[in-house]
Amino acid sequence: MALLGGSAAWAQPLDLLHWWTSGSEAQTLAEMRQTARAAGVDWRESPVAGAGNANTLLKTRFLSGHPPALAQLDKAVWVWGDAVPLADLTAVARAQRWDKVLPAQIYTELLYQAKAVAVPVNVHRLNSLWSNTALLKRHGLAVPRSWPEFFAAAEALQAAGVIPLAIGGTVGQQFSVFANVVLGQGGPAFFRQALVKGDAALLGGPQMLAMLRDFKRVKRYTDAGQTGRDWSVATSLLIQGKAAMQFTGDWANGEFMKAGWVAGRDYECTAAPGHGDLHYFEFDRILFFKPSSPAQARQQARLAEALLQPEASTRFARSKGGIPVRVDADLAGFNACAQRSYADFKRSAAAGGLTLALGAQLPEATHGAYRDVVAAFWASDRMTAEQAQARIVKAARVVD
Amino acid sequence: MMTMKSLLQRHLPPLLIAPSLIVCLLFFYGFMAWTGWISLTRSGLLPSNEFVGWMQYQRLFADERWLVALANLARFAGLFILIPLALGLLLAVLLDQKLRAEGALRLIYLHPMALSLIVTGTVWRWLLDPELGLPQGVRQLGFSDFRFDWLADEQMALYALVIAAVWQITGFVMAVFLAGLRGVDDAVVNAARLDGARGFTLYRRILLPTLGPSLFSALLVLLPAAIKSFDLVVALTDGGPGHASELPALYMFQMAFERSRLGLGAASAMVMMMMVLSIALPYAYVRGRAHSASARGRQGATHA
Repeated sequence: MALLGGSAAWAQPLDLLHWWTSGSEAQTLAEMRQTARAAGVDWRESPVAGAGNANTLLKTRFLSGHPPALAQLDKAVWVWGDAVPLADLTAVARAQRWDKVLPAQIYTELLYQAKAVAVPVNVHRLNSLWSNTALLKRHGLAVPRSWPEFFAAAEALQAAGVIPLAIGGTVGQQFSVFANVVLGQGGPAFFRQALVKGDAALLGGPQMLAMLRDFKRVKRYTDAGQTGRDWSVATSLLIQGKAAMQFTGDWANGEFMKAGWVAGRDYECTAAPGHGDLHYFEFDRILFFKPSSPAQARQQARLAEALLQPEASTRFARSKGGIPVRVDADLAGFNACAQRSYADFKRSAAAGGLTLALGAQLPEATHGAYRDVVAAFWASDRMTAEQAQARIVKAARVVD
Repeated sequence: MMTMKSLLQRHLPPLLIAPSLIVCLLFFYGFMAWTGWISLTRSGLLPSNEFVGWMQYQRLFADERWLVALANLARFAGLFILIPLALGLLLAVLLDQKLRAEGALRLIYLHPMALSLIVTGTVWRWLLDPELGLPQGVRQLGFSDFRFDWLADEQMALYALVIAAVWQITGFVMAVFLAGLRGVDDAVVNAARLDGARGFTLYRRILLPTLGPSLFSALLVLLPAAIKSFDLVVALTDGGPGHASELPALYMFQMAFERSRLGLGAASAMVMMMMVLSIALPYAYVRGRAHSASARGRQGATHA
């Protein structure tokens, strides 16, 4: 039986289309390859540089009739589910009790028409405030816990000639500041009702206007060199002592560790101002497409099961720099930032405040329209908060 | 045997160009027609055949980002055409003075053309970087208050694009004009000299009026190049800050391939094609008429 499975597997390898090409990503991929092969899966990879190119290639492969069996996913599962046939991993999900070992907010994102179709790899926290401890101390400041505290600290740092907030030039980084303001001042319920559901009354209301003003106010505390800057270059400004704080996801943790910095001593990783233990996250996942034969279906099931084994899932998170997806993971060997993130993740999941990244909840057209407004407003000295608000209300109605 | 040969002679030319004609029809006009069809459907992540009429075009012109891109194109194209024309003409006239090092100078001016626009864009992005580039160099020279941050300025970022594009294309325009100037018959120039035309007058009255065809060739290259500008924008500003320097081609690419809105992207592509056609068709028409007129002229001459 094993022999039979082996030969059928040889005939139809599981091909993963992905854009995990940077150092830590490649390492995670190597771990996954090893896990897959140990489970007897004939694992192949089709790497493509960049999410945009990878998604284009994925579409082309479907159109030309040679789809891969697996793909890295950066959209909601229904985006692909509405377009192409997906696999059914429900039996594995039931056997491994995914609904118990994963937070509900993640489990539901793996379902398309009540069938499990994707496997989560690891979780990244998005709402982190990174700060240079020595720099804050030298100016007599504590890590800001609320937005008023943040602005007060930024004012003091700027007066002292330090860049208060390091930021890169991509829309993603500007948008994460916006999300941090909305979540920190409005809370997850407001975030959901206004941005996810597109409630025009909330989006057009005074609370959103104040948030847009504060979002724009943050720009005053950033420097002119941000255009075209990568997030990691912004992080290096903190490490060089030129900037005091940065908002970005937990991938920044690896940069600090590479520089030999110790969390809690040299740098701090706290939730964004006003967030408390709220965990705003995205998660890496692999989408399983409809298998071309029963043999391939069996391979897919074996792979899904192997990837979600507690030990394997923890290993992926460690090499990728995030936290494990399972709520029963053992975080021995993770650094203080990851441990804090994981504690918040579990507390947040239990309390219902765990919030999935906006981009994974919305249709691409709507999310893209929001991003357009936020990017234009951040860049413009002429656009007023009222104009930005009018455009946000319109953006919420953009669908494709 | 003879009939075989004459048959071959008659049909060989069409047979020889048939493959390239078919390839051209399929990959050029075929895909153009397909894009036109996609722009009338609800295509999103993948192409679909659900007909929705002009909906994608309505969405397109309701999108402020597209309107900004169009307005940017108008400003960019104006400068991208006028400045190289003026500069190119000036350089051509200066080079036309029988200089000793003309060959070397021509090479220097033409050299930017040899670079890919991606390279041009990347180099200029470093040069114009407000913190690291030329501005930093000037500050190190002692002008510590010097600021030059067009790349970060929503009003000026588009002009940063113009600088790089002009730098790239001016040498080409110069070469076109220089060829035009050199094409003028020596007899005409000498006759003008005999009549007392010197220096500026010679250029204004005799040489420049003959440059009409060169001007047309340059325009025909510059205008479509402006409309399809993509790589330079991607490398230099990526459309930013915000969308302050975005041009239609970048919008099309992002909608179609990064935002899974194939129908909308196709609609914007069709609008861009219409813009190019609105330039190319009148030109082809005028050329066609001029051609048939001159053909008629020759015919008349032989009859006479």
